[in-house]
Parts: sequence; structure tokens; C-alpha cells
Amino acid sequence: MIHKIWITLFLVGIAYSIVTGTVINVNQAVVAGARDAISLIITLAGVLTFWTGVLQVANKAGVLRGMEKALRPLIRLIYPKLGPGHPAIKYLTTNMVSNLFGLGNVATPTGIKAMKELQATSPDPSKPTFEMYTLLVMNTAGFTLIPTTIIGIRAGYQAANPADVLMPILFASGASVILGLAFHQIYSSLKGVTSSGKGPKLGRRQAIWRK
Amino acid sequence: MAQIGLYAVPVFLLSIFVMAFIKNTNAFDDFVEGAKEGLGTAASLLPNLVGMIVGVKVFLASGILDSISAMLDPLLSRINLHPQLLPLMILRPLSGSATVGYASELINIHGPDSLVGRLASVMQASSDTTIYIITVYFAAVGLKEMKHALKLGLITDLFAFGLAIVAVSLFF
Repeated sequence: MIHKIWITLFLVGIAYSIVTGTVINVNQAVVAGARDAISLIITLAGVLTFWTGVLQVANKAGVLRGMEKALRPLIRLIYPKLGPGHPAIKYLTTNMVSNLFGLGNVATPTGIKAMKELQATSPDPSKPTFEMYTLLVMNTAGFTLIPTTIIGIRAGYQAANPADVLMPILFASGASVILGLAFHQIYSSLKGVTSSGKGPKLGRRQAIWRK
Repeated sequence: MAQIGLYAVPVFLLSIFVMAFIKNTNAFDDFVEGAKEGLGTAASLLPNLVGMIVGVKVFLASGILDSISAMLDPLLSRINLHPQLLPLMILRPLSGSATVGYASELINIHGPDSLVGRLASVMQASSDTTIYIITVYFAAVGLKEMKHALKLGLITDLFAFGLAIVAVSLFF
């Protein structure tokens, strides 16, 4: 489906600009788009490199395990099929926390790490698993505690109270996560999407620690 | 409230380094080991991003969005939805920066405390750049088959837009 969307973007865009005689804009858009993509990837590469490095430090220092422990009930609710020893859980946790605090720079590397771990235990690595879709819905809903961008814009245009949209935003994004997950639950079960599985069994020492 | 956003990253970093110091791990070696992976991932994303961003730019540059919203004007005003909100909803999953630009323009024209300004604010903030997230997350693990990803992502966005309308009428 993404293939069709991609082709449609070009087909519609080019055809429409030829019809309306704005074809010069297409020429500019090709150059500008390619340049934007490269400058985005330069930023993204820096951010990804730094944060995957820091995440590894956090992982080895036990910080991720601490967060994982604190948010276990929530993660278990959202990802019920993953075993407690699944290596993706600590990244799913950090991804959720960074989204809550609006840290997009941390959310992307943690989300990618989680995807990789979810793929590693998948029965068929060429297909997305149930948990990968769940992670996607969790991220596309953009649930965040402090939507800083929009509050900043509203403040810039002299809103009486720039943050008065906070409650409606929390309501709309929170409820859309729940509805999105519910839809995913039904739809993916109907389509027979497989789970990433329980993951490796816990060793005895870990099992004791996790109690 | 905004203070939390300001301190979140430094405090998160600080707690990681304090823990690494206390536990006396080989922090720099760990960093380099993890960082290599991030660099590789970023490099592998480049073709996907160039393709997708150029596509979005070409689509937007043609000006078709304005025509669509003008066309749907009578239909949308019947359900009390300002026609200028439609491009926002189409832009939202495609491009984060274009959405922010368009939303701030709506807030500028109609005023931040108007119905349109508030709806634009809530719609912008309660969903995310679905196409970009799918491109990045799924390309990073080398998945060619995205199957239901787009459907799920876009339906969640639709839920968010509907709920934004409900929320604004509920809270204001």
C-alpha cells in the first residue's frame, strides 16, 4: 500500500501541475525535497548515533532495567504476548517514556531498537509481527504529556492561555491510542498476524530479580 | 509545565551517567559499540527518506490540496468543519514540518483562541507523521512488506481527528 501511496504522490502531483501550468514548482520540489531529505538524514544520523550509544551505556548501567521494572504493568497490558524476558521490552519502555516527554530524538532510536528485537524473535522475520504494529500505533498517535511545539506556536500568536488546549490534546491523543489499539487488536487477529513470541526464557537469577 | 520539557533530556542523560559512574561500567566503550549501530541504521534509511520526501514535496508543490479543499468547501461547511482544516488533516501523516507550518498559519489567520485555531492546535498535537514513522521504523529492520502498517497508522490518525473535534467542543 505504501508503494501505491508513493506512486500516487508523484502521479497526482506532476499531472496536476502540468494541467494547471505550475510545472516549475515540481522542478523546484524535486531539488528541494532531495536536499531536505539529506539535511534531515544528517541530523537524524547524528541523533541516532549519539542516542543509540547512550542507550547502550544506559543498558549496561542498568538504567533501562530500572525503567522497565517501573512500567512493567503498563507494558504487560499493551504487549500481553511478550514474555517478561523479551529483549525488546526495555526499548519499548524507553520509547514510551520518551514519547510521553516529547523527546522525539530519543523516541526514534528506541523505537528502531525495539523493532529490531521484535524482529529477532519473530517466527518469520520477513513479515511484521503483531507487536511491531502495536509499537507503530503507539507512535503514530503521538501521545505526549507536554505538546511543546503547539503551545509555543500559540504563545507566539498571543493566545490568552497558550496551554489551554492541553486537556483536549491529552483526551484526543489518549483516546485515539486506545481506539487505534482496539482496532489493531481486532483487525490483526482477523488477518492472522503472528506475534513476536515470548522471547528467550529467563534464567533463574533473573526470574528471582524480576519478582 | 514547559520546564519539564526543558529538563527532561539533561536529567535523563545525567541519571544514565551517574548510574554508569556508580556501577563503574566501561561507559565509553559501551557508547561506541551502540553508536556504530545507530550510524549504520541512519545510512540505510537515506534512500527511503529521499524517495518519500521528494514525493511529498512534489505532491504539495502542485497546489492540488488547495483545490481539493475549495472543492469540498460546501460539503465540509455543512458538517460545520472549516474547509481549511482539510489540508491540515491530509498533511498531518505526510510531513511534520509542513503540518506545523500550515497549523501556525491557520492560528495566525483565525487567531489562537478561535474555533479553527483550537481545532488546528489539537489536530496537530494529537497525531504524528505516520508515513515518516512507517518509513523509518520498518525500513530500519529491512521490512519490505508493510502490509497493514499504513492502514493501522492512518485509521489511528482518523480517530485522532474525530476525537479532536469532540474534545474541542467538549472543553470549550
